[in-house]
Amino acid sequence: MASRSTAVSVLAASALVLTACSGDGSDGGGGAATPVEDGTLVTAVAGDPGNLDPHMTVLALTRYVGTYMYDQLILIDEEGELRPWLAESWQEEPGSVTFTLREGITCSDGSPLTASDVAANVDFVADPANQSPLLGLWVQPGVTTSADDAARTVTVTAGSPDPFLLQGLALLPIVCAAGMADRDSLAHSGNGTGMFTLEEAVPGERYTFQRRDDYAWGPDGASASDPGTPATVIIRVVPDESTAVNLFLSGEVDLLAVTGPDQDRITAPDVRRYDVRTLFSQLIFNQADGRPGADPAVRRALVQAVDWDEVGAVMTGGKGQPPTGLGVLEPKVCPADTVTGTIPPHDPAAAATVLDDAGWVADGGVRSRDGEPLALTLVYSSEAGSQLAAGVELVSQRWQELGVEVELRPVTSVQANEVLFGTGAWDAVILSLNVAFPSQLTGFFGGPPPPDGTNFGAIANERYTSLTAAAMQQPGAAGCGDWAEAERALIGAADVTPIVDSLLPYFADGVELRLNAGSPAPPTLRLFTR
Amino acid sequence: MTPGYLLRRTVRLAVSLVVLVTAAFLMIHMVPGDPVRAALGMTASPEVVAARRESLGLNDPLAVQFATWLRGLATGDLGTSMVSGLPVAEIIAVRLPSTAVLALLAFVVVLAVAVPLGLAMAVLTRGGRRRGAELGFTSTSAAVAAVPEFLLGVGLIFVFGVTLGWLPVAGRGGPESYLLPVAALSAGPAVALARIVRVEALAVLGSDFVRTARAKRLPAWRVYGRHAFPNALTSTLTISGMLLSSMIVGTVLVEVVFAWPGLGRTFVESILAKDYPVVQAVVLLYGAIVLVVNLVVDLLLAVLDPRSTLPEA
Amino acid sequence: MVRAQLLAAGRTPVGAVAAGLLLAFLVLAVVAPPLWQDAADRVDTAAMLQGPSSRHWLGTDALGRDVLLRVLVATRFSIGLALAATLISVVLGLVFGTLPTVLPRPAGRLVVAGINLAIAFPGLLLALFFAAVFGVGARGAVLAIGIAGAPAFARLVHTMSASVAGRDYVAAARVAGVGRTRLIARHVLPNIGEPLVVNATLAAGGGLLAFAGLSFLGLGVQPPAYDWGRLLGEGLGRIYLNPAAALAPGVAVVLASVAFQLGGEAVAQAVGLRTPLPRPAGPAPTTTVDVAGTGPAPTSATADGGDAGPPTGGAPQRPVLAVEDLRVSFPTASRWVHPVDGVSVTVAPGESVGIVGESGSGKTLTALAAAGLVPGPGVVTAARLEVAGVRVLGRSERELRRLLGTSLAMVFQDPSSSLNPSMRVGRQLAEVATVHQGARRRAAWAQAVDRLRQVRVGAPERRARQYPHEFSGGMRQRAMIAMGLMGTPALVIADEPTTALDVTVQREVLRLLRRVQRDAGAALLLISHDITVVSQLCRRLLVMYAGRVVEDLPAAGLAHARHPYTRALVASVPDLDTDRERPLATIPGRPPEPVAGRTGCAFAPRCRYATGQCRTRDPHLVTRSDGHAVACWHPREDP
Repeated sequence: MASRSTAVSVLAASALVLTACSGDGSDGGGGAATPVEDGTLVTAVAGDPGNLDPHMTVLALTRYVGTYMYDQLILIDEEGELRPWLAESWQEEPGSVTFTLREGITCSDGSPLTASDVAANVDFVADPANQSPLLGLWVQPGVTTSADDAARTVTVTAGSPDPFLLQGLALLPIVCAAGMADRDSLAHSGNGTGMFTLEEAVPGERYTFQRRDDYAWGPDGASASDPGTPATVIIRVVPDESTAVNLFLSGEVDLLAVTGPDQDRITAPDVRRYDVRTLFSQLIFNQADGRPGADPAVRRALVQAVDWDEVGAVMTGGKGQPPTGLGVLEPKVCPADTVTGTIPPHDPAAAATVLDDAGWVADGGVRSRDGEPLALTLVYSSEAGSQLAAGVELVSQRWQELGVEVELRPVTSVQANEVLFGTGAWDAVILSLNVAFPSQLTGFFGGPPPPDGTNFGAIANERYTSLTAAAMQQPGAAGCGDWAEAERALIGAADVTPIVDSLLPYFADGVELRLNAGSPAPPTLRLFTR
Repeated sequence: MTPGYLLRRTVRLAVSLVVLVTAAFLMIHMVPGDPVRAALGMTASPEVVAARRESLGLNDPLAVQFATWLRGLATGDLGTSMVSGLPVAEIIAVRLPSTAVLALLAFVVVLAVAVPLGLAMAVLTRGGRRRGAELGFTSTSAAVAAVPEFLLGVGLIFVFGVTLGWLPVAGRGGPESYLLPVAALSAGPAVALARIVRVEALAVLGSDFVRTARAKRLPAWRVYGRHAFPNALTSTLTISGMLLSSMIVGTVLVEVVFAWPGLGRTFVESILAKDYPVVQAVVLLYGAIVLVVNLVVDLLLAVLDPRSTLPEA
Repeated sequence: MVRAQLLAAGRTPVGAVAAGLLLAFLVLAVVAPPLWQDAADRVDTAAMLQGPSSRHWLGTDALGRDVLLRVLVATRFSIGLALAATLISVVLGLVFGTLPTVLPRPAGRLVVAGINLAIAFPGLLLALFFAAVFGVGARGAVLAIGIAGAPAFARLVHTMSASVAGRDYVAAARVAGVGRTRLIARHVLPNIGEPLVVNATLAAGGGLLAFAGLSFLGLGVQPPAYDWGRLLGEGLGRIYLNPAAALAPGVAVVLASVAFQLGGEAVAQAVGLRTPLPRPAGPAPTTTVDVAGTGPAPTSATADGGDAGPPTGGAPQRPVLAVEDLRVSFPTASRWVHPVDGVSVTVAPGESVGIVGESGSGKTLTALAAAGLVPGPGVVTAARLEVAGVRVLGRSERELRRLLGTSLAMVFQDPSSSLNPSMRVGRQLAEVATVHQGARRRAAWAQAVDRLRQVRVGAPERRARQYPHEFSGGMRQRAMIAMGLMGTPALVIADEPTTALDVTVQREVLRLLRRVQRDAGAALLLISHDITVVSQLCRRLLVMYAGRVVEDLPAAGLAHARHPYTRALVASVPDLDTDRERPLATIPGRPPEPVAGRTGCAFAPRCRYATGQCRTRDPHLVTRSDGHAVACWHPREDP
């Protein structure tokens, strides 16, 4: 019974989870549902959000709780389309973007939201002195702002080439002036423009929100007066996923994301399901000097020796999807399939030949070269559930059949960071690393290794580096061709091997919603009779 | 109970706490890993990580960090959690009550079940009577005591929450929401303690002074109530003290299963996340609880059994 | 010795269950891996995550492996881990537990303080902490659970070695200049081995559960290795989809843990570390000869047997104790034995009668039976059993309380254990008055103080407020006597009242008993192994052997005892006339164990005068006209 909080928060998830979306609001309910007025919606998260300051956290569930209190400038819908929210329109220029705020937006304390307030949000995150972990994530270092309160416009200018300036800013939660002035107050309460205000917080147990009846600036014009908007939202903290599903099945929770096997228990036909697709895991080698992964032949052989579809099925209990690219969250800005045909094909015999040719010869079981045995330490998260572990076990078995000695090393998330960024005592890692934009991956797959940078695998793929450099110069989707080629370069050289995509379903019982960057958008929640 | 005894115990308590705090500080620093990087996420730039590390004082020598922490402790500042960003004192203030209530309830249930059950079994099976009942009790209680509380919790939820739907499956709510967690938490300790009570009571029932009491032709209730049981319960009291402290601390697994917003869960997560400020504070708190409970038990013992205050040889 | 104890443990029902279970797990641990290891590790991704079926009784895991086979194969690793962790605990416990003995005193005390602190902290939390330090996986978990269990063993070792170190032979070794380390290795460790093994067995059972708990938190054994804990963790993740996969390892963990713990307890019982079973009923026959001495055959004593008049001489008073054909029986595994077998005693008002005999002769049981205090499951039968004219047998406790409440007083052997340690002495006395005489608390207290004064306890007001442990041994015994005086006893039964006391104190107590008897006009039934004590205080003696009265004679006529056993008893007592140069007299052989039926005289095997008749026919107590009775085929006449 792996606790869900850890399953969500680990390796990968600390950085991501938050953004992009795909969704497929499969409408299982039939059309006869009628809205429930002023009802109560109960949802559950796997851990306590802790400090609620939305600019000081990268925890997925903290961010999720924050979405009830804080709006964004733009909604990124299921297809990746940008929809107006706080910003009624926006204008992209080379190296800058200008948002025009909707009229009449007010904060929970009654004050109006001004363009300067929005600019202050960006400035806060951009200032390294504030130590916001969102710096580098959605707001890149060096951005500057200017605001015109009368015209309700904010202009953000990038300090260095940033093809996804607009998309990043779209995801920034906007805090009102009073909150910006008193950051400590944000730890336990909210001060935003969201459709809900925090009524009561019982840390570790529940967070209760009340609807703002004057709210009228939701995405695509969603407002509090729409039929079916809940008057009260309760977010319960339920660390154990089986327990959460028990609550869902007994009707005590209406909206729930389920990552693990317990999704099979939710079979009622009138429960809606919204899937968010993410890259569940990928294989990365340590190419530092002296590590086996530095040898391209070894990497290629290890990738070829494994049937990744089989491993993917094990890791997801047969519910996964073939991966289509590196860890960029849906909806992708550049939705190209860079995996099919790029991964070195499954062929254990060929893998053996590759190793033989490279001088790694089997002598009584374990291959060696120049007396050096081919031994690998394979690192993975101990907190991501037994199916991932089973998949890792399968990988190690296949590698052992190839004549490689494999030591499995499960790590907790703090240990993972220590191992990957600190000791470097690893050869391969299977992890879940997802980001919002392709540009955010360049630091992991290129550039200086730790401690000076975040290229923990010491990957030196010149083609990837040059292609991404070119792509960085082009705004948004214009660079997609280069981004795709860059990904193919990494995958083809077996530097990075995507293994399987998982579908993270949100189950909604008597609830309809729209996804914003892969997470329910609170102003779009609507209750219906079951 | 002499003032000297009280003083001795208090000094010992204080020394123990100091040792405990130091040990906790050293131990948490032995946990491998980088809490800052973990808290900030992989995408955080090395500069931000370094800046956070500096501002948290993690680059200082351990001795300096310890001194800083002790200084904070003296002024009532327990620090701030690295993971949740909340003041540690606040985390404890919010979480401790729900854990304490759960543990205390379970403790009361344990005593309410174990003491009468153990005494009754002792009286029933004294002097080798009712071998069948004894065998049944011994094996049943051994089996129940061997079921880990989290398994029992899952089983109880499965039966009473999910299958029968009689009780809430999780969470803290009305009185009925306490039933399953308290049952899961108290079943094992209750039967285990009942066994101990029985054994102690049997030993006392076979003792000379109980024979004296019988020879005085006292009524049975007086023989049991005045002579046998109080003496049987002194060692039970000692064990109960350890039990209470272990229950306050040991709610960890049950809290996870029942989505109980307690401190135990926080503690486990903090250890894994190497969230030093939280771990240190919670260890200090738990240690204080354990030691204070033991002190109270010893004082009670001193009242009940005057021999116990004699200085150890 | 140990083997015998193990066998004894296996014969108890609990022990048998534990032994059966342990054996089953042992067999499984040995045979399961070679039989099913390959099948249990066979990956079949086409069959993954299936429920129970005829092919896979408990379903399959995420790699399509058979859960049942994995549970079976995991037996070896699971139990191995628990044992390894226990071993670490024991070794660390030995090291830290003996350190206080080895180290200089301040350092030793520090270690003890550390142990006491660590033991107060719950094991699971320590294990969690250590698991985080050592990293997830089997190694970390074993170390964590092993270290977390160490404080308990350290304390055990420390306590036990401290007690062993206090024993005479260790002290002797120390005086002889044996080094501390050697002392521990040679003298201390061998003596604490048994309790250590028992506790290790219990700890191994607990260790299994601890591994399950760590696995539940994701800190236990990691792939590709698997133990029950990991299988349980995996099963719990899907418990609502396939309960069987969680149930099987759960049952295995619980069963194995129960087996270890019951096994440990059964052995503990057999070894006698604790007494979860009631003590053997009644004073068990032992083989020690209280009337000790060394030397050749008994010397003979002489006296004519005529001068002691019949005890009830004259007035046909109703006896305060009338016992006829008293039999006390206890069940053993196969049959009943009779430690008291057909005893008859009569005590007239004001008379003092002594019962002498070796340990196991049934004298104490006779006294207890007379008072209706024979502990279960003993059974008392008698043709007649009356105390102060009240029929004892067949009456309810309530009736006896009403009828006998204050007329019978008892004084027991060991005053240090016969008083309630947690009750003020005064209250223990006073409650007699409150219960039986309906006295008010204050009045009862005053009476208690008065009685204490009566038995010459100094400063009785203050003493009454004290606890027994604040009294000296003699003072406690006087308090016991005072307790008997709270009522108006017609009969005082004193069971070895001086045995546990110093010689000087003995005399005081005896004098007190005599005075009390005189003042209160009570009869006295004095039980002792010490024929001198009895003869000083009593006018008439009953000599018991193997549950029977073998001789009933006037104390003054001891020199004219007719039974060879009595004579031997007398001879074994040194007196001023005893030749110091000669070894003391002794009685060869041992008293017999109580048995179901016997043929012939029980003393015959030890009797130098025994004939074939003695060995085949049981002598009956034959009373002479002067009241002197003896049960012997060949009674000694004057030498």
